[in-house]
Amino acid sequence: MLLSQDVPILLTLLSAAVTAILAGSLLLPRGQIMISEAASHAVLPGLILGFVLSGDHGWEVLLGAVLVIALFVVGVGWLRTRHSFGAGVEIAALFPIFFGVGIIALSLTGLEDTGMIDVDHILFGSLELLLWFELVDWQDLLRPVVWTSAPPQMTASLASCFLGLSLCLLAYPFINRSLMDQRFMTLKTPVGAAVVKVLETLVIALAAAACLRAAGVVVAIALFSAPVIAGWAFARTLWQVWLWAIAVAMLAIILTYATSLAALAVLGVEPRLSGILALWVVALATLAAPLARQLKRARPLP
Amino acid sequence: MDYNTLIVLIGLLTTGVLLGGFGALVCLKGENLTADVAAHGVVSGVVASQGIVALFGLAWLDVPLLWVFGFASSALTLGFIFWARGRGYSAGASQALAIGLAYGVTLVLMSLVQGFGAFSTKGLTTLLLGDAATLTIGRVMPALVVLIIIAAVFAVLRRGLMNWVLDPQSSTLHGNQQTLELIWIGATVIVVLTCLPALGLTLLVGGMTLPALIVRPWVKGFVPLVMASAIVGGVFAMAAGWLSAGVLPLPTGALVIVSLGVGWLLSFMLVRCLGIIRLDHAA
Repeated sequence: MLLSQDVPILLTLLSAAVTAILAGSLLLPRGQIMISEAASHAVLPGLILGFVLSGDHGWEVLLGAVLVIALFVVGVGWLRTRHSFGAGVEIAALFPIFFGVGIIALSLTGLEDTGMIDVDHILFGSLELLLWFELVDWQDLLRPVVWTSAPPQMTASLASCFLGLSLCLLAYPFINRSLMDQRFMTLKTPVGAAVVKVLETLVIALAAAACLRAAGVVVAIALFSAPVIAGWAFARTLWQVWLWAIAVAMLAIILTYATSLAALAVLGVEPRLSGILALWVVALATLAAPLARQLKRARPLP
Repeated sequence: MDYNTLIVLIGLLTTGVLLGGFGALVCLKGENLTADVAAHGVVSGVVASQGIVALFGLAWLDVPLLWVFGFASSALTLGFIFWARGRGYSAGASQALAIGLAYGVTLVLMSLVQGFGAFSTKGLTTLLLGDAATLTIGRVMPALVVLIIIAAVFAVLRRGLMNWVLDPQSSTLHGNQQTLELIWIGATVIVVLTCLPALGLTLLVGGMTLPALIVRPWVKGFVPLVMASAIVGGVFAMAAGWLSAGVLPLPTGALVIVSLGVGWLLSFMLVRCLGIIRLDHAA
């Protein structure tokens, strides 16, 4: 393993996975996991707004993405009870509008022709470009000066992970109860309920924006849903879901690396890491339920 | 109006009517996101077909292979969703797993094809975003044929269709749920494939959902909902295409969806205003 090249990819993927798992565990029990897929498309206007305001791919782009995804999540929540069609129609109605506005903004700002916002890059990710981290051995991770050379995507992903984890731990008792009992929040004061809702929205927006920035739409969608679905098969409580899901994500990352090396050795071609990771997490999620049944730990599927 | 603009407008009208009408059924079943996943499932088939064409030099089979592989990959993705549901997963979890699978397969195939031969991902951006401005009669014709067939099927089977859409238990009782699901998968994939050139796979689901949401407060009954959605979808798509061709030189697909969004907002506000006026009169 070449530390300066592989550690940034591993740390970015792992922190993105933890952030996505936290957000996915809030969406899956409510039947809204497809918000993760929709948000990854709806984010486009936020990326463009952030880029237009700052002129580079810095923190403003991440902030723009967080704001637009938060607006999207709030909009979906508001519309859910205001139409008489089937489930998920509000998500399907809103995200194409956001994406359409993004495409029009891309055209109006002239960024379409400059290639500064590359739709391919946003969609498919570019984990392989996460270079370079001045790391010679593992002990260097404890030296603050080394972190100044960290790739911005990795820093953003780690910061989002830390913030998301802090928010979830802070509001754990409320989140846990509201997931188990949908009417729990009606017993709270409107201010208390609103604060928890804002925290949840922030965690979801942060996770979607950080995952997209670090690893692209493909990895974002896979990491939001599949590890949580796998964790669900074994866990009994919310924190157990998180731990199982993180373990599944770590296993998938290790298998991704192994598959990538094997493909390079056998075929002479290195498939995209984000694609292999998506396939592994989906495969592990699909295998989790039968395995849990074999181990007599099965519980109702999400 | 020149010939090319006329073809583009006919293409958009056909796409809008097809997506609007079929979308009303999809909305009633709550399967909009399943249709979105089906659209994303097409990409891996497209990449596979392009890879085969590049590797074996089968340029003359380019278009047929594109259709066959696009259909197969999209149908397999939808099949995976129904399989996962059958195993006990919720609709959302099955859709999320299916889209993760579709994306993963696409990326791995893409990098393998790129590793062995020449293939650019730039062409895929057209697939993602659509390119209505370059519609030709050859690309419009499949949508037109599918529209005529679906309209004929709807005219004959509308009562049975209504029962199946609004009361899925009735088809389970008759023992033909699996057959109807297979027909549903086939119809969804065909509609998605024929409408892709105009709107692209990301915006397509908006064309399915928004017309039904616009007309829902104004119509009563199954047939009026489907008909009105089809008309609204067609009119908005053609009007946005006409605007894009002259007055507002913006990407056509995005303009269609944003104008449908504005239409939905206006419809929603109008319903609210009328509700307030009625309450005021009643008081």
